[in-house]
Amino acid sequence: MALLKGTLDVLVLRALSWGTMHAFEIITWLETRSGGRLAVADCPLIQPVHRMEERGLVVAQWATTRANA
Amino acid sequence: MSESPIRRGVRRYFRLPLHLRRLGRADAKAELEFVLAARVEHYMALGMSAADARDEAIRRLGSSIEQALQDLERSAERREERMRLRDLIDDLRDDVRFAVRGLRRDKVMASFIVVTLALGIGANAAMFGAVDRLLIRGPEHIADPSRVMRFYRTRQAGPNGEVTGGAFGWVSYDNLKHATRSFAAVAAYSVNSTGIAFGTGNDAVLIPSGAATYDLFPLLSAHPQLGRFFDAAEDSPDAPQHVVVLGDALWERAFSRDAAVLGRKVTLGDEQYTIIGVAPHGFTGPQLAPVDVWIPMSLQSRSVSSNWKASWNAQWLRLVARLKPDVTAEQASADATAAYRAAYAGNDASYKTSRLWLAPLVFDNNGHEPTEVTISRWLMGVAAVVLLIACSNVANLLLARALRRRREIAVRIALGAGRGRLVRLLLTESMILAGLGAVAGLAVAWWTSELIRKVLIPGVEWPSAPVDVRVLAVSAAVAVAVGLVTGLAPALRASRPDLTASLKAGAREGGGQSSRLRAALTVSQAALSLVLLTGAGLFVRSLMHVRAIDLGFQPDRVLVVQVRYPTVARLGDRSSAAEVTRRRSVYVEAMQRARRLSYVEHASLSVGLPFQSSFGQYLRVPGWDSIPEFKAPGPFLSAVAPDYFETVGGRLLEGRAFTTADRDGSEPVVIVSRAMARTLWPQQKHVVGQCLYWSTSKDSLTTCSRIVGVMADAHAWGLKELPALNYYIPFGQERGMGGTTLLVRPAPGREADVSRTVRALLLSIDPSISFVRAASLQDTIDPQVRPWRLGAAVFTLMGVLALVVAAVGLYSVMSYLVAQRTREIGVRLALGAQGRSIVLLVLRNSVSMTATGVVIGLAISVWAGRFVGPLLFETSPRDGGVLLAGAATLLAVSVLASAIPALRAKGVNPIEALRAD
Repeated sequence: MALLKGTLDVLVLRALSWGTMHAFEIITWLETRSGGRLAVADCPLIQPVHRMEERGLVVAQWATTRANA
Repeated sequence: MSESPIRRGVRRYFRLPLHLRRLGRADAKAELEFVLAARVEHYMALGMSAADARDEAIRRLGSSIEQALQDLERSAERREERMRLRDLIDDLRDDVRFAVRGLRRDKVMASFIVVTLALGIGANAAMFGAVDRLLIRGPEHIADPSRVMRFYRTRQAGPNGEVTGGAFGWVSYDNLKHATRSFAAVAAYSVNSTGIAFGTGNDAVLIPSGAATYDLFPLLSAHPQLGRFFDAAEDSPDAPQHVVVLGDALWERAFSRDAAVLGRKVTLGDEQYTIIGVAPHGFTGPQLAPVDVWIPMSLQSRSVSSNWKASWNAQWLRLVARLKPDVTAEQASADATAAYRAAYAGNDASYKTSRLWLAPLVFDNNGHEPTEVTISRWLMGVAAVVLLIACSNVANLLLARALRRRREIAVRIALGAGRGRLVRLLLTESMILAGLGAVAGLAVAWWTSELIRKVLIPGVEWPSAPVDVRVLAVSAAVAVAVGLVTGLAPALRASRPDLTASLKAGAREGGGQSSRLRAALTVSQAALSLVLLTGAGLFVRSLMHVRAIDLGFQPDRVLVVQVRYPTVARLGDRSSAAEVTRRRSVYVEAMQRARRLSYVEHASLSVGLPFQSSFGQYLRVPGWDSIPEFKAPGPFLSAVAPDYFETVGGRLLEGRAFTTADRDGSEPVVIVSRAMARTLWPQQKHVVGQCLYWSTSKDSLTTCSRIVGVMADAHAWGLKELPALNYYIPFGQERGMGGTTLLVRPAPGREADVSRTVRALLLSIDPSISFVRAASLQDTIDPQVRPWRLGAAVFTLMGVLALVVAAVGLYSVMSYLVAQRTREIGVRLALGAQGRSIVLLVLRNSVSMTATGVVIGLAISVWAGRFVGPLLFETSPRDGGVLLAGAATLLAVSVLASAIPALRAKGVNPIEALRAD
């Protein structure tokens, strides 16, 4: 599905508005909410997160997962 | 930008590893691995096999693992870099905000520092502006100016030894142009700074004019901003054309920058010229004085002599050359010398063996660096010293401030602030101060430059504003350096405190080391101030000596009126002898009518005037086989009308002055100067009645001129010269001399009226006069006084500046010390010390620092005196009075500056002092 440039950022921010999420969770969230219509490759998703972090739109945090991985 | 919940700076502190690029990469890798793992787990939960899940997870990355990792690493790195930069900017902003807040709390000190730095930086910027033009950049519009040099000739001449001059004839120009191979080009020019009359009748004004050979402009690589410069045909020695190139200033002044001036005619000294071009803005040729019009050299040379093209004697040109790329000045000089010697066909042997050499364009007519330039160079150094004083003062204040804040700083360190961070914080403070100082300094520079340009170094064209890009750049560099220098020592010291001691000690200071540094700064301020004061004293004394010179006349009281007539060539049918007689009668009538004016004390006429023109004639004195060349200038002959000595303010020592009975046809009489009487009649006590023979030719020295009087010595050409040999004959008896000058002595305060009236009077007597120029005789002498005036003015200014800065610095340091020692003083008072002894305690402290500075300053002054000596006028660089006065002033100021803190110390309340903390 072709996306307008910048749309992904907004989608990610929308996802994060629910709370702290890991990149993987964000992707899953996007897929679930779009009913599977939005399939984002993993790597390209992380890069905009970096970009947004750099612009101060999101904040990164270290934490252990529930599985303590 | 939305505000994140956690401040970015804080995030940095808690995730420290991120600031390393390598760790940023590791971070990215971990992130990718986690995503992969999560993905695999997810697929396996959906029922895939481990291998399938992994394949699917990798497919979901959108590329290979390696590619994905690379992309992620790159984006992580970029993020780190940007964030670090942003953090830096944030920190800086915080530092600035913090520093400004701190400085606003300490307004008095901050404003004092800014003013101090403004004066220091401003003085430097102004002096740099002057030196930049005089020394570094030189005249505008010269491409590769270091390759363009000026010719000089040094020859052995009589008892005066070597004589160097920069004037040449057209033959030399022609010869150097064609018979040498070291030069890419040779050109000649001459500048007439008194000026040529521009316009006609009453509207005529004198404008500075220049004459140049056609090849001057290409030599300099100057390009006209409008039209063109004249070419070889227009400057042809046989048929020069009346064409003129306007200077930018005149084009603006007289033609309002009208592009249609090309082809128009203008009147220059009675002749019509066609405008063919306009020189670029600020163009002054190879020298610095302004030039309003440029005309072809061949045209101007016609007025020099009729055989100007072949004469070796007439020397009215200055020669410049552009060296070929690989030729050194020495090689070129040798080449030029050989060519000159081979070609010289004149009758003076000393020229045949003379040596030609090349010097930078800035050199003056006599082949020296002009005194103004030398003094400017010195003043640049002086400005630097003022800046040093300002810096040490500011460093001192900042040090005191840092120590006052040691508790706050200790708290910061205890809370984990790094040393680098603290230094940066304190440096920001000094940088802000230096920056503000520089901005205020530019205002100071602007004002000072205007003063220097107008009053102290007139006669130089300044094409750019007092503060131009280069001055700005230098000021900015100086400001940064000042910020670093003044901030670094206090910052380093403050960031290395004894933590526990500082936290415990409150505001009291214990360390002896820092007070030693402060004392060193105070001492050096005192020393440098003394050096400047001494310099100021030496120059003021020189100026006083210059002013006190008895020139033998009073130049400030004499108005010199010169009349310009149309050139004889344009007289038409009137014969030139008749015209000369007619003009003479015009002068005589003008003199008589001027005498009748109520506000004129005396008026007279002269041919030959000190500092203006002098005439040598063949001379015979009984008892001498021939008159040798003396070391003293002269003998010079002037023809003067009655009342001459009263008009110029000369003193008659013996005999009588001329009367109306002494005129053309009456008995030839002469008045000699005392130096002439003593030199030529060494045996006679009284020379009145003796005979002296003078003539325009060697073979007709037969008419006795009887000496009727002896005059006091008068200077002929210079401030520094042996008493000149002068003799005077009655106006009308002169032969072979021309150029009559009307001299008027106005009543005090009426100079302007006289100058206006006499001008109108002359024009009414003779309407054919093309221009009347009236100027004080002082004006011709002023340029010779200027170097000392420049030195005295600027040195005094800087000296006073240094003194004020040092005084306020000492005051603040002493105030601070007293505040530090309040407790100690309280103890002393409690133990029964007298108030007087406390005052003495403080005074002794400050005076001992100053005295140390004075001793060092005296040593430096005496040492530097060797270099400044040649610039002084009849003043020893080790003048005891000056050194003593400087030292006394400084000590007195130091007592004054510490008196207030000392009295404050006396008033300390022992109970409060002991109770505090």
